[in-house]
Parts: sequence; C-alpha cells; structure tokens
Amino acid sequence: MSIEKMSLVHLVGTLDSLDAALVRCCNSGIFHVEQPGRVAKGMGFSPLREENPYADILQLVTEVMGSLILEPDYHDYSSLEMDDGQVREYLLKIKQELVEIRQHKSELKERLTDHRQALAQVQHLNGLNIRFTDLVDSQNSKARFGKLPADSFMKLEYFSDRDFFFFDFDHDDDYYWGFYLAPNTEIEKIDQLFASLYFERIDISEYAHETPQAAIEALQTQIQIEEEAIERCRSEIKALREKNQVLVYQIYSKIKMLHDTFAYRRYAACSGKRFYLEGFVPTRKAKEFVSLFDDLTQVLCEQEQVKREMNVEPPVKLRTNRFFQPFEMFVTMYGLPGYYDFNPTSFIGFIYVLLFGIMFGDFGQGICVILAGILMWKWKKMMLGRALMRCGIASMLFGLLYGSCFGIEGCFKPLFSAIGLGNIFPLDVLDSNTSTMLLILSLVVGIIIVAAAILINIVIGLKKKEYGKALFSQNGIAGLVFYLGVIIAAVLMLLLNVNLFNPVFIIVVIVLPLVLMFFHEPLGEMVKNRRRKRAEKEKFSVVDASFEMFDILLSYCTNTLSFLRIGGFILSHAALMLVVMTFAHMAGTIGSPIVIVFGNIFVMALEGLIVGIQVLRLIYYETFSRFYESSGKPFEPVKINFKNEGNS
Amino acid sequence: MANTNAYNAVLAKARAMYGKHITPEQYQEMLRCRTVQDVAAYLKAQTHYSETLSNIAEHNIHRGQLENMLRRAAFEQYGKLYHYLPLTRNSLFQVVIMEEEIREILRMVLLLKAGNPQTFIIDLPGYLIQRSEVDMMAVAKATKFDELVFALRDSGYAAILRRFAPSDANGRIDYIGCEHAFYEYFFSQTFAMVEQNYKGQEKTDLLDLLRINVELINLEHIFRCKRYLKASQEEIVKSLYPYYYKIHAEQIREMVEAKDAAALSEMLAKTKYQSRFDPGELPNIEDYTKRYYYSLCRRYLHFSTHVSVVFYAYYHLNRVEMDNIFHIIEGIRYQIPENEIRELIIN
Repeated sequence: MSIEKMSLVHLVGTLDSLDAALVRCCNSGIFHVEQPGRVAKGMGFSPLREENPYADILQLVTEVMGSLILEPDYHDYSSLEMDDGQVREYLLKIKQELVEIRQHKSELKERLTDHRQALAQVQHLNGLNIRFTDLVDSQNSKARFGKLPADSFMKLEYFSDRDFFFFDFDHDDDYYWGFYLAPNTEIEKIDQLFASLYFERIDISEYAHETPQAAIEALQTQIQIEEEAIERCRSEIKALREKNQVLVYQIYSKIKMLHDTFAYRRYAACSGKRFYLEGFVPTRKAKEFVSLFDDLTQVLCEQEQVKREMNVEPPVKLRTNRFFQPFEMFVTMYGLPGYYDFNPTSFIGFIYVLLFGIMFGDFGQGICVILAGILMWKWKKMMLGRALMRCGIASMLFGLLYGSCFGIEGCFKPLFSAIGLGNIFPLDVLDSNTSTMLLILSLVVGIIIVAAAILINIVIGLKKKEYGKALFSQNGIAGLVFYLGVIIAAVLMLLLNVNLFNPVFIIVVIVLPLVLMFFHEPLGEMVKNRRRKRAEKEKFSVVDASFEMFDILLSYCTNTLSFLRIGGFILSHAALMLVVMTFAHMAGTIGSPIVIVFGNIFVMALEGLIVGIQVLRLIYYETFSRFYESSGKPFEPVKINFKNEGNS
Repeated sequence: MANTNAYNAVLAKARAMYGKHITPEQYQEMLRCRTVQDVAAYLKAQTHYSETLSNIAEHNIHRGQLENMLRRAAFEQYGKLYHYLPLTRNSLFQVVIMEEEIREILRMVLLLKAGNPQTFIIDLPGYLIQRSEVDMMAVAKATKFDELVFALRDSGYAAILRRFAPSDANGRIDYIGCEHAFYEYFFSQTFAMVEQNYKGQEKTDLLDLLRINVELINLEHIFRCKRYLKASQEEIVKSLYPYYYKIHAEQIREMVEAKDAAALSEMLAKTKYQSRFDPGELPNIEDYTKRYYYSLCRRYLHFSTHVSVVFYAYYHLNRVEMDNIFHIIEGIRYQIPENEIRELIIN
C-alpha cells in the first residue's frame, strides 16, 4: 500500500560501449530513462544527436513483412548468420518478387473490374432479343453502350432536334444505363455531344456478337478465369511467406532490437568519447541492476536512493497487495499520485468491494459475478475481471446476510438458526424497520469514509509539510473537528437527549474551526514561516472566502447524504427481484423458470453496471476530491516493443 | 413542444452534418493529389462525399461531372435540413434557390455576350431544372437576349434583365451592371423576406449575418476598384449595395474617396472590423473578408439556438467548402503550385 521507492542510476562510459549498455537496460525491464539532467550539464555533457542508421533497413523489413502479411513479433535470432549487406540483398530480392506478383495481381484486378462492369451492362440487356452484331455494326447506324449521369439524362430534351435515340433500360439515383443509336454520318458529332454530357462508354465489343445471353456467358467465363488467376497470385504470396517467414522474423527481431536501442541513444549525453545516461530503477532491484554492468569494464554504473532534497521527479510505480491490485486501474484512470504522496489503491479497493457487496448483495448473483470476472480475465485479460471476482465475493457475503439467492428472499434461515443468529439474520430488507436501519447505516458508512479521507489528507499534508492543508483546510484538522463534532453532538441530542451545544463547545468545535477554515490560506503561509509577498497577499479575498465557506458547509452535507444511495440500492435490488418473482409466479410452472433466469440476467446486467458506476462515483467525488492530487508521472521502463513496427 | 423538438433536431442535424465537413488535414491531403481523378478518389474514399460519389469510376471522371455531383450533393444537404424545417421557416430555402437561379442566369448572360449560349446546358445543374420555378430548360434554349427575357417572363428577373437589353443586335451587354442589379434584387428580396417572416433574436441574428455579408462584399468592391481597377469614385459608388451596418454611410464615403488602397487599409483598421484586421498583412481583401465571414458563420452554427440562423450559417459554410474543393480541382488541373492553392482555402 505504498509507492515503489526509486533509486537514481547514473551510467558513465565510453561512447562505443553505449549500445551494449542500452541493450542491458532494455533487457532488464526495470530502467526508466530520463533526459540528461543537471548532473550531466554540470559535468560538461551535451545531448547526443545522431541519425538512426537502422531506420532504412527497418522500414524495408517491415515493408516486406507487411507484403507477406506477417504480424510483427519477436523470434530468437541467435542463429542468424548474415551480415548487413546480405540482409539487405535478401530483403530486396523478396521485395522484388513480391512487387512482380502484386503488379500482376493489380492488372488482373483492373481487368476483372472492367469485365464486371461490362457484365452488369450486358445483363441489363438480357431481355432484349436481338443480336449485338445487328445493333452495333448496322450499315446505317452505330450504337454506343454506357451510362449517363442522371443530371445529363434530364438535359436530353434540349437536344431533341438532333439525330439520335437514347434507350435506357435501367437507372439508379446517379446514372441511367443504356445505349444511344445514331446514323453513321452523325456519329462523331453525337459522340462529342454525349461525351460533353459525361456519358461513360463501356466497351462490350469484345464479347457482344450474338445475343446478350451469349455475351453474358462469355463474360462470366472470362471473369472466372481472372478470379482464378488472382487466387493463384495469392497462393504464390502464401508460398513465399511460408518459405521465408522464419528468416524474415529473425532479421526483423535483430534489426528492431538494434534500431530501438539506438533510438534510446537520444537520452544519452556525451562529452568527447564519453557518454552519460541517467534514469530510475526500483530501489529493491537497484543492486541487481547495477550488477548487470559488472562485466562491462568500459561502463561505470552507480545508484543512489532518491531523497526529497535532490530536487528530482522520480516516476511513480504503485505497489499494492495482491488482493487490491486490480483496483489500481481506478487510481490510474484518475491520474497517478505524486511520488511523495499516498497510494490509495488498497483504501479505494476496500471501499469498492465493501460498497459493491452492500449494494449488490445476492449470494447467487455474486457467484455469477465471480464467474463473469473469471471469464473476462482468462479470455480477454481484462483487469476489470479480476476486480469483479473480488466484488462477487463481497456480493455473496452480503447476500448471505440478506438471505437472498437469485432473488429468492429468506434463504439461509436454517443456517443462521443453527448458529444461533436466527433472530437477526437473514435481514428482511423490505421490512420498514430494517430499511430505516439500512439507510442510517449507509449514512454511518458515509461518515466513516469521509472522515477517513480527511484523515488521509491530514497525514499527507503533515508529511509534505503543507500545514495550511493539514491543519486549517476543510479537509484538515479544523474540518475534521467541525464535521465530526457537529455530527456527534447532533446524534447525542437526537438519540440520548444530551445537549452538547453549550458556549464552550460552540466556540471550540464550531466557531474556531470555521474561522480557521475561512483564513486557511494566510494561516498556512504563516505556519510555514514564509513572508508572504505583496502580490500573494492581494490574492486573499473576503468575498471569495465567504463563498468558499458556503460551498464547504454545503459539501459536508451533500457528500454525507450522497451515501444514502447505498441503502437505496439495497432496497431497489430487493424490489426489482420481488418484481421478477411476482412475474415468475404469474407465468405458471413452465414460464416461471424462464422468467426467473431472464429476470436475474436483466437485474444483474442493469444493477451490476449501475452499482459499479455509482461506487466509483462515490469514491471519486466524495473521497478522492478530499486528498488526492494526480501529479505523478508513470514508471515506464525502456523496452523493445517487437509487436510495434514503429519507433519505441 | 413539437415545434421546439423539430427545431432542436434541425440544430443537431446541421451541427452533425458540419462535423463531417472536410478538415484542414484533409485539404492538405487533397492538395498533394496529382490529378483531378486523384482528388475524386480521395473525396470518395476519405470524406463525407463517399456516398455521393459511390457510383463514380474515379479513374476516368471528368472535372465538370465531379463538380456537378458535388454541387448536387451540397444542394441535397440543404434539402435534408429543409425537410425538417417547419413550413413557416422554409422561405430561407427559397433564398438558396434564388441565389442559384441568379448565378445560372448571369452565366447565361455571359455566354450570350460571348456568343456561346449553346454550352449553357452542359453545366446547368439538374437539381435546379427540377426545383426552380423558372423554366431553366427555356433559359437554356435561349440564343438571343430577347429570348432569355422571354424565358424569364413569369419571374421578377425579366424586368431587371430588360433594363440591360442591348440597343441592337450588335450592341454590347453591360454584364457588370446586370450582375449588380440582380444581386441588389436578391438582397432586397432576402431582407424583405426576413423582415416579414421572422422576429425577435432570430430576426436580429439573421439580419446580422445578411448585413455583414453585404457589407463585406461592398468592402471587397471598394478595395478591388482602388487596388486593381483604379475606378472613379462615381463608378465605385455605383458598384455598392445600399446597405450599411457596422460601417456607416459616412465611413463608406470616406473609403470611396481614399486616395489609394493603403489609405483604405488604414481606414478599415479603424472600423468595427478592426479586431481581426491587420492592414500590414493584407495580400488581398477577400482573404480577410471571407475568413471573417466564415468564422462568423461557424460561431452562429455552433451557438445559435434558432433554426433559420443555423440553416443559413450552414448554407454559407457548405458553399465555402464547395469553393475550396473547386479551387483545389482547378489548381491541380492547371498545375498551380500547392502553396498558391493553399492560400485560397478558407477553413
């Protein structure tokens, strides 16, 4: 339940050993590289600027892989015995073969498109019982087949005095398909006219001699031949892939390693023949990391534990116990905490599981949630699946207390009777007394969570020496005293008739904290013993502070009342299942199981989603807003991403 | 309530349609095309025109055909919005048609002047033949000025055109005067329609859009006359439309009297358009006015809650997109350098 402690690592060595050092950094999987900082500048190092010599060859190999339809991935290349020249020659040879096949395929595809268009054209004429030769090669006239834009078709009326006939046999929104006939003496002019109307001719002369049916058959045969030829091209590519894939993968892995490692050289600073590289590694693995360079005599590796005075910004790696680890995604979704802050994963994981269980308490449905979680995790590797498994356990436990299993209320009574708790459990949540108690308990849970969030803020504030925040703010000691003081006094007065609201209590627990909260900014500065600059002094405004106070008082109420939804969801879950059961009862003996199954699925899907979102909302709004600052940068160790063909 | 929902639907639809418009990055990609066919292929594959161009064979499409299809697509988009407009609010669609009619009639006047009216039919949009109340086929069949006037006899355009009839068969047609008269008629009709059909904020916003449009056209005229044509003050005044809004009549008079374009730039910098106007960086006035009006329309499209205002803003933005595409097509066709075409793109 903390943030991984980091050590700053310095690597110094000769420039020709930089690549070897970087390969070890990448392979370690724990080195987070940084831009050279002040240490490098102080020692006279300057950034290294070079062009990556492996960029061309990487592009070539990825191009070849793309053409061979090979997904980028790592393959062991220790057996590869080709030098750079041989690799380039080999890749160019494959590329040339692929280009030839593709070119042939593209020509075939073009011809296929033409023939398909021609077929579509001739199919429109299928009903026409006439020989093409009679139509096209008539002694006195000529026919042109094609399509005319719909806009141009409208304009044919304008040319009604010209010597042509246009026969359309089909049309859609954009085109009219057909042919025009014109006398031989006029055909050139009519061709020009139709060209100006954007008539697109389709040449069918090659196939259209006899009837349309014969032309259709000829075209279909031709299309089939071309499709088979395209299929042969695909097979050739497949054969080429099978023959070369092992070697291509090995080349890719080697080139990618060299390329990406070289790309990390931009993080190195150099001075003469020496390089300097710095980064962070987790402290508990720092010694192990340093030992990686023991046999590299040209490289010196040193590490030092990060301290606040060093004025560096280490990356953040959350360290959470196994049970709550899946809930890290909710924290990272909000933004990582600062390196010196608090890792709230276990805290929010606990709240999430608890509230989910309370709000979605059903033994049977809890089992289903666990199963869904297992499937999501095993099949899709979704972290949410792991979180759901934990939530499902809580649902089962609370389902046990509510005596609810797949909506059948009052289960487990014998179990509780056997252990002597039959008078209390299972709870009948729809009973008016129980439901009132549940709502009050929801508020209590809310108060505890809000108070815990304020406490966390106080601890963080004191740790970071931000006294204004820890002592005087609404989420500091002043706020906590006011919040808990008012609630305790009100509860005592309502339940035990004990009135704590005497002048001393009012001054100490209500007025004083309010005054401190009102002036928390200037007071914080005073405690820090720092003379406030004139400009800062002017920032404090009584009007702003007054509005802020109003907002603070309102937010205490609303934040607490917000937790009433916990009780609300217990009741709505029970009510929804009651509706399902009523319908099941009405559906008779055959329909009843179906209604129960589908009703349960519906309620689980609907409520599971809503409860999941509502709990997250409670955590983000009512707790995170009180202490959390997402100012951390993620810990991203350098590595070679073989699945990505681009730069790392 | 039903009407409010209908209005909201149009607002949402117009914004959603504008959201699919061509982005600056897409213009950049189009500028890299080598041929008109490449542009057609790009528009078909990568833009919201893919449905419109789905049936074309992009490798052998003709420029004119492509432009006709795009214009028809734009008109159909206005039509889509028009179908959602309540009946009392569809008069703006008539304005769109009127503007198209005037553009076609003026094109015919130009062709008559050039002695080539038979080519008019080729680029006449089919949608206008169907939707216009003017018999556009009769207009297309006109071979003389008188025949054109006769073809337009049932519309308000005939009276305007008659004023510019050449004195005899060899007489010249005053095209500039004719164009000015037609657009003066167009503006007066549009303003009258807005005054009659709209009220409140909707009317104010629509008038704002229309008046600024006219005013920017006036500014373009003055600048062009001063910078390129060296026209007399009288000629400049004749070319202006008598509407004043952010620049009052006195200021316009001073601009007309300005000794050159530089003095005019300084005067413009003192008007209410000054915030977006830098006289030091003014290659041509259209660059400024068109961008200004484009951003104004975009603001109205996003923030107005009045359906007619959003419709009119959308109409203008769509026209700008058309012009941009046509500039690119023309530029590529005539092999104009990429950076010169880019300067003409408004976005």
